[in-house]
Amino acid sequence: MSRIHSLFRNLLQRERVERELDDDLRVYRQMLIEEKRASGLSEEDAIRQTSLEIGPLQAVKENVWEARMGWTLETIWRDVRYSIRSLRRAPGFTAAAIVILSLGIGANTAVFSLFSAVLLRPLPYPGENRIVAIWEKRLREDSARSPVSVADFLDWRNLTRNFSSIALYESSRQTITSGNQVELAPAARVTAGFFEALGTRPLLGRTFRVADENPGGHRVAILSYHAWRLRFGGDRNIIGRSVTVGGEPADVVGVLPEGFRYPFAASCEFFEPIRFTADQRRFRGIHPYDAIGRLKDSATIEQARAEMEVISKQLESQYPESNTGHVANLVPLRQELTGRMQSTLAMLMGAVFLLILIACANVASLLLARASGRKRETALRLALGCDRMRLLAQSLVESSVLAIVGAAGGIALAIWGLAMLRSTYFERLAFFAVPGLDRIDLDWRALAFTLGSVLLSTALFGSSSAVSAWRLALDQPLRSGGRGAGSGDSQRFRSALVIAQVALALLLLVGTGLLSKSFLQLMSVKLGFQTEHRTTAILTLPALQYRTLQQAAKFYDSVIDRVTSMPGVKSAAITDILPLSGNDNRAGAELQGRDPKPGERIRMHPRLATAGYLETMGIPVRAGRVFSASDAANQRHVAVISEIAAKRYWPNENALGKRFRFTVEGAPWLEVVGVVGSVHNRAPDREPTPDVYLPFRENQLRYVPTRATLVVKSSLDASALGHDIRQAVTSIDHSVSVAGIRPLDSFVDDATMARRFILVLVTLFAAVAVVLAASGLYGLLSFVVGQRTGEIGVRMALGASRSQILREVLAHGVRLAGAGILIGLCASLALARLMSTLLFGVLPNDPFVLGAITCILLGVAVLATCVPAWRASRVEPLTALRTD
Amino acid sequence: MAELLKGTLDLLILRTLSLGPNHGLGIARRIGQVTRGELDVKPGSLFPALYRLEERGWLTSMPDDSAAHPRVKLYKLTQAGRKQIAVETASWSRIAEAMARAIKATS
Repeated sequence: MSRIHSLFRNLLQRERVERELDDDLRVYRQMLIEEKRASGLSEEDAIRQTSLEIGPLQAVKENVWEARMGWTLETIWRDVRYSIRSLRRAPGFTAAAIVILSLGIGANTAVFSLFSAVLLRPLPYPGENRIVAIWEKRLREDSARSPVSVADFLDWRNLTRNFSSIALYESSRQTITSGNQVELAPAARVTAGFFEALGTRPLLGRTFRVADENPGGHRVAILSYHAWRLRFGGDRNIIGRSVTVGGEPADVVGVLPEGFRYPFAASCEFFEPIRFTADQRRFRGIHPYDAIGRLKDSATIEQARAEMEVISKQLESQYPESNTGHVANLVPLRQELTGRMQSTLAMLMGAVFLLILIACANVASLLLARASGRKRETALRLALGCDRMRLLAQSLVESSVLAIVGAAGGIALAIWGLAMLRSTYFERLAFFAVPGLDRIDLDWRALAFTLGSVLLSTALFGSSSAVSAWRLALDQPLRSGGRGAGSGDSQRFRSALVIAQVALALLLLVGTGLLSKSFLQLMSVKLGFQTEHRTTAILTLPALQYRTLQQAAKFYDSVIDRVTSMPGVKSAAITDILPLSGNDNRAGAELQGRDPKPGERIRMHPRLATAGYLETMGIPVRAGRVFSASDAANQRHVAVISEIAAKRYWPNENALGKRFRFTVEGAPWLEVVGVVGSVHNRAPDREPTPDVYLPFRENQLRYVPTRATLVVKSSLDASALGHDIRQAVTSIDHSVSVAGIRPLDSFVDDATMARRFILVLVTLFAAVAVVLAASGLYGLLSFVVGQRTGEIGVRMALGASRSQILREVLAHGVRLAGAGILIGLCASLALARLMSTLLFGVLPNDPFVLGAITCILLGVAVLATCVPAWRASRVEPLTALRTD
Repeated sequence: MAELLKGTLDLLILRTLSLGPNHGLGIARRIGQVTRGELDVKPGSLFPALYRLEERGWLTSMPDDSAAHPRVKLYKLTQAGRKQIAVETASWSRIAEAMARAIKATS
């Protein structure tokens, strides 16, 4: 009989094996009796002697069982069944422990899944670690990640020996026409080598070539798998077919494979080649694009860095005017995509880790309370010869059973939580536009992590209860009648657990407090424009029909005329760069009559706008006037600048009447006719930029602004206006697309979404933590009061007043909470600095936040103490003494 | 009536069976005889040992039809059991020698 066979037989056919053993023993006994009879004993004596010789049958059988295969497994299984039985007999305790553990493990599993999807899972690009983002580091401006100029890029591409491909890209939105429907879809413009850099081969056709970058060439486009299936029915003959993108026909030259994801936006339906204009090839001062590259297999990133530095130096000496202090900066793709999220995710991981510690401390004190309640049972078992090791093992098994059931609940909670997060935040959170994040689920990493949390929590709370069981065993409390002696130790331990819970909860509360204050500060930032009662819409003109600035400007003017006359509309305006939209333009400038100071670079952010823009947006005029239609008639080149620009470039002077021009060939001098309020363009938590407002006709960067945003000031909301706006625009030109109709304040929502996301989560965790800490305190004091009922009764009988007793219990609770708060405050001073990158307008040791949180926690502690204190003060001396 | 060291009993049982198949009581009596009554094997240690040895594959059991009791089990040494005797004998001799030396050295 093999061992495995024996194992199965012993475990599964227990009854049969048992019967066999019974038979063996019976036969043995029979033979022994016969033997004794044969030696001349009487029947009665033979039986008596035999029984003495064999001893208790049950003991023999148990010895046999212990010697057999699978005995350990069998024991564990028996312990598990025993634990389940005893847990079912205490449903209140069991439910509480499981809910608490589920919360702790669930929060950990959910946040870890996020963490793992963003930071641990490989990006879906082969040879991911060979892909780098290439930025321009500008030593003078203290900027490490500036976009790249086309002329520099072309030189890099010619000179580098360490990259197998290098490419520019730009994420955008572009109209695509299917049938007679024009839709705005996420798109990107990229150069040749982009897909090669990401290691992607097309499913059909080809990728872009260098020839496609020529503006004179044939227009081409590449479709994503998604767009190909949904818009073109997965037609395998699509290559060479003409589609209409941006209002113009382009030939489809390729279709990307299903698994391909565009790394720099949440999605991308199609790609167009970047077509370099003659100006772009010439002027190094215009930096429109971002760049990536793939290292050759033979090259290391250090080699590539060294090479690019040499090339940058070379360009610097060749073109000192534009390239002084510009060095190519290589950033690994993973860091590029996920770097910003590291601090947020690390903070969330820290928060859930604190939460699971609190949960474990809480369950540990529940277990201790239960162990005290079962002291007599335990003592009895010890007295009856139960092994201490067995008792210890059993308490660990019970803890594991709780942890495993808790983990099952936790996984369910995590799945639900992730679904909630996904539907609430991911769609709108640019922050989460990481390739692969749409695949957040519980993968093996997350499950391994959950298992880890189960082991951790079992070890944490299980060991404490096991230790108390051990102590109990040493105490042999049967003698002391289950009261007194043994409880002092376990009570001290439970006090320590409560203090720890309060301290951990305080840490979470401090995090929440700091984030809340940051958020309030953020919301109170004066953006510089009015967001209420404004509706926006994105207009996209077909570039083939609108080839000049004049044509576009004329169209925008007629849109304003039409929209302004709509019922309920107070005013309307169009701009190419809406604040908080993520778009921006920036260009170098020179001031008339003043040379830049050494090291100073004068840069302005030009915004094109129709005449009524500043008024429609509610941007106040500080000095001078806004531009008007008569400026164009008088052939005057005028500009309106923001306060920041005026202060920065004409400090201690009146900027009105001063002249400046952009450093673009042929740009005219512009006269400052007005100074207006500054606007937080990029984000509420970033400084305003030095802006220049110009009429569309005066576009200094010379491109034709075929995409612009219409802003309508009206008491009607976006959904009521949407239809009329669409009608008004398409009645002028039906080939223009109108998309993204939404209220202006939704941009503010989006800009603060990342902070809201982390704030909501951390607040949730802190709330759970406070409830757990409070319940821990409540549980301990109730227990203590219960234990001391007799003593309280005696004291009352001896004349102690009720209020004295009440005060005493309250003081006990406050003492415990106070110790926890003190420890927590010390820890928070050390830890809060770690989250300083997530804060805005508040220091990590903000006294108001710390003070407020101390008060809240103390208040909660007093509340939690009230009930047991009141109960203690209501003790009737007579009843108490009688029950003793 | 000395207590038996674990492993000692295994060796004694295997040795006993190397003389020929036997049943439980027979094995116990035989061990009693060869040790001249020094070692008295009780069922509390005999049966666990028999089951353990059988599970290891060193002996097998079969019903003995010829015996007076219909359900009596006859234990028989297997090939592996026979090899195990050599292994256990060697290790036991080593222990016995070491013990003897230790006792001599300390007395």
